[in-house]
Amino acid sequence: MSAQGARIDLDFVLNGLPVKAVVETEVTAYEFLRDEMQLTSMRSACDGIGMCGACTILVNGRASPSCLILAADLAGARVETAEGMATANRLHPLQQAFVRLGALQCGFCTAGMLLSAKALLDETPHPSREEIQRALAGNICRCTGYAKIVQAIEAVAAGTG
Amino acid sequence: MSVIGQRRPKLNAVPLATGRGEFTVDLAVRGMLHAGILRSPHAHARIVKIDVSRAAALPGVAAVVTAADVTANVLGASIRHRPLMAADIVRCIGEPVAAVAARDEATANTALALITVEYAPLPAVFDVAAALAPGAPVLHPDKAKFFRMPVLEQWFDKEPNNYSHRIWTRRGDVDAALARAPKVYRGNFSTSAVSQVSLEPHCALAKPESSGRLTIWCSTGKPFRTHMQICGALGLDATKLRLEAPDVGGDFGNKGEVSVEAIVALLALKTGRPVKGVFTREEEFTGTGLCVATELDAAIGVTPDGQVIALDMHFRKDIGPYNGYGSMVTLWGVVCAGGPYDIANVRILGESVFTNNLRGGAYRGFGNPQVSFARESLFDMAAKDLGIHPLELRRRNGWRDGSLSATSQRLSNDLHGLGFIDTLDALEQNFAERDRAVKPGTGSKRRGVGYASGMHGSGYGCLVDADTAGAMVKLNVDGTIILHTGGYDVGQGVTMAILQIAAEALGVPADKIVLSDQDTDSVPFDNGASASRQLYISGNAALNAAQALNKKIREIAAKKLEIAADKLVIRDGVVQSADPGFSNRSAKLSEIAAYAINVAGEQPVGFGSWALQGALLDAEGKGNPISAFLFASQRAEVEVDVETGAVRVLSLAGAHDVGRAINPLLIEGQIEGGLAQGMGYALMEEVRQDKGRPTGPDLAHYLVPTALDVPELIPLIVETYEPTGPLGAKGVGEASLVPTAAAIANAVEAATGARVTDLPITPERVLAALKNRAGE
Repeated sequence: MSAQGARIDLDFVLNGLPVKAVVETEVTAYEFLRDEMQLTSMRSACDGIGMCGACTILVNGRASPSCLILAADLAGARVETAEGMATANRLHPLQQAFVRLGALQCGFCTAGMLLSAKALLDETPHPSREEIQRALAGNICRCTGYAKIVQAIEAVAAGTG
Repeated sequence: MSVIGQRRPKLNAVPLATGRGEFTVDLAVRGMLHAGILRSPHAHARIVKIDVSRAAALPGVAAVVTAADVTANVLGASIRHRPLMAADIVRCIGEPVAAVAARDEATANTALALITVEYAPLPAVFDVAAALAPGAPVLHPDKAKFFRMPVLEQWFDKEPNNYSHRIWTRRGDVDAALARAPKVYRGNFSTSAVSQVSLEPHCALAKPESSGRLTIWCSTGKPFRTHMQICGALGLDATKLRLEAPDVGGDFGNKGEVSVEAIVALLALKTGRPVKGVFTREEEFTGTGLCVATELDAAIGVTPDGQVIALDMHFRKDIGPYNGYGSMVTLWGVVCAGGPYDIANVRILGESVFTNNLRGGAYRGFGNPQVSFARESLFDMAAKDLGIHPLELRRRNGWRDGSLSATSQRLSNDLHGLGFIDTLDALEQNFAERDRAVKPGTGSKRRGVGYASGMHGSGYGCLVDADTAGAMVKLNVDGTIILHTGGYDVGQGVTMAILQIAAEALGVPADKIVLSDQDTDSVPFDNGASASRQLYISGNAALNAAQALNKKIREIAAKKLEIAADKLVIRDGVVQSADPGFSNRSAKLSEIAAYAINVAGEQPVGFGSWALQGALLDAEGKGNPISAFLFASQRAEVEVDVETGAVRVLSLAGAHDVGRAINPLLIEGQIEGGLAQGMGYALMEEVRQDKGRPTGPDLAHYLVPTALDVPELIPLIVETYEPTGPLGAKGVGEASLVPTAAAIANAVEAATGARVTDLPITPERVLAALKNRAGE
């Protein structure tokens, strides 16, 4: 983060709540959300080159790697992170299914994985297995072999999550 | 209802699923400095001069450290000779030379660029053949000077050459058996260096406390071993350091050799301030121990009815410049090379060789996937040539009660759960019909099925004299229960399974027990997440602790209920008479706890410990290196494009003997994860190096399997009973990728007739093998 960076006002909606902030123009959404908003569910395994998917967020419902987006580009957007998925002490069906069906191990990729899955199901409530695999293709998991992740998403789509 | 066999999610599943997991990379404390490490750009060079003055003078820099600041600058298990930071010679690219602590990452990086190091390059060796050639530069002329692991000592090569250890086991007369064998199958095989790719990189935060102690949070599955190494390098008493691993983002073997953890500790001690360091992905390639590249020559002698009468294998491992786990991996490879087969004549020789390539280390499987790839490829060649089904060939040679292993260990149902044949049967029952339906195809896309098997062990076995764990289970005054175990969850969720064992032995539902914090102050010593050991060894300790508490509770309750302790049982959290006639005489655990503490004046605490006593190999390499054997048989179905050489895996199945299945949900996770990782190892992954420099050390170039690559995964749990295991259980974590690469290579051969003997099986190698086949 350079000290000379230009600053810009930023208004957007984060997990349902309005946010007003001043950000430096070169700061990424990943850095801003983690360092300024104190949301740590998005993580990095690839040093910010968009190859691991662990920092995935939803921008207007679309799964995007937050390391490749500038914070300034969140202006006016509806942003969701894993912290915002559960409501009033009730887990999101995807979260429930991930827990119950063993779709997470170390958990480092889980937030990004959940958001990619949510973007898919919000758009395509009954995806084929291949559509699920495509939706997850940018999210690396080194632990599970993806099988239980795919099963959890299928269970939610089938209403049996 | 029994707690055993329940599909319970891992303990921290909900926090991880809600974004509330807390990994070391997430931690920050007030006043924290950021560490950076200066690494060698040379594969082999003398350090003529290091000048840190400009870096130290940079505003925002709190400290610069070099080798001169390290008390005992030697690390490593097999040979203790790897410097935390190089003092006079660097022996691979990426070797740490200096480190800084600065107010932020950018300042740390600027400071690193201001350190000037004058190097005088030395001749280097980049493969095993060059390292062993006459006149090759010797990396460690003084290797005999350093502390070495005693169990390896008989195999240490003291000559001034680049061998570290030459390790063997022998049974029978291999030369004679090969000479008389009607059929002999041979091959030269190679496997690649691989990066573990834990998603969370190595990272650590060290904080000096007002008590004068130091707290370290770091990403490791081996808190005590990490603690020990840091204290050793920095000359600290064990009491000076409290180490805690929060949620850990994967391990897979390489989070056991200390680097950044000790460097931030050193910087924190020097500055008196908290210091955090996080490896970049590139540092995960250059600054940790990679899976060791291996070259293997192997042959088997077989009778026409499929009896394998001889196995001869010679392999060499490029362990890079320092011997952390290199020779231990070599020993384990020797021990596992014979597989789950009774072969009358065996000769295995494994050699660990120093080079100036990137440092080798531990990876899931610990030297076993390499030897299994060679052996299982040869078995497949024999099966095809002799017209025997690959499962049947393995069945004819597989261990049964009374069989003898390659190290001349006698297998018996009294001592071991021997479920190998059951894993073969499970595959046959589930897939015989499906195999018949696989059509080879006639166009460019050819399909085939391949099988492979392997055995592994739970625990360190012959690698140490004793592999020890301890546990404590405590009944609180309100009747709640807390479990202290050094068994560690790095993703696999083993703490839930250990807790289930404790709950079963105590007689309470699993959700009545809570896991304690697991820092090095709070739990008994444990070697941690490695060697598929925790469910077996930490699980046995937890079982003993829970049984001790169960007994203690009954003794206390005996006074209150006026029934003899041995006539009481604990069921569902209620202490009651074992005799149904006295069912009205019972007490809840909360009542007993209050009675114990407020009336009887006793502590309702159970302590338990358990150790696997290692049976070290003798001068011939004979002995009983493994106590609890893990057995795996796997099936791969592939489609090969014979025009492009591309291999698509259509299905992977793994049948695993896990002893008693404590938690099938978690076991399936281990099988599935291993199958996928084994597929990466088979087809995709290789840390390519150009004169010791990794080409593309990032996740854009080093590709691991994605959801699109991984096919249908079919885990088959084969339940047996492990006599020495906790409630009959044993491990599973590593066995799941041991035979995978061989199964895929065998499937490629079944599909095309082309055998690829080098990993990874790239399209180029498939095309070359197809061309070879055509030229035959």
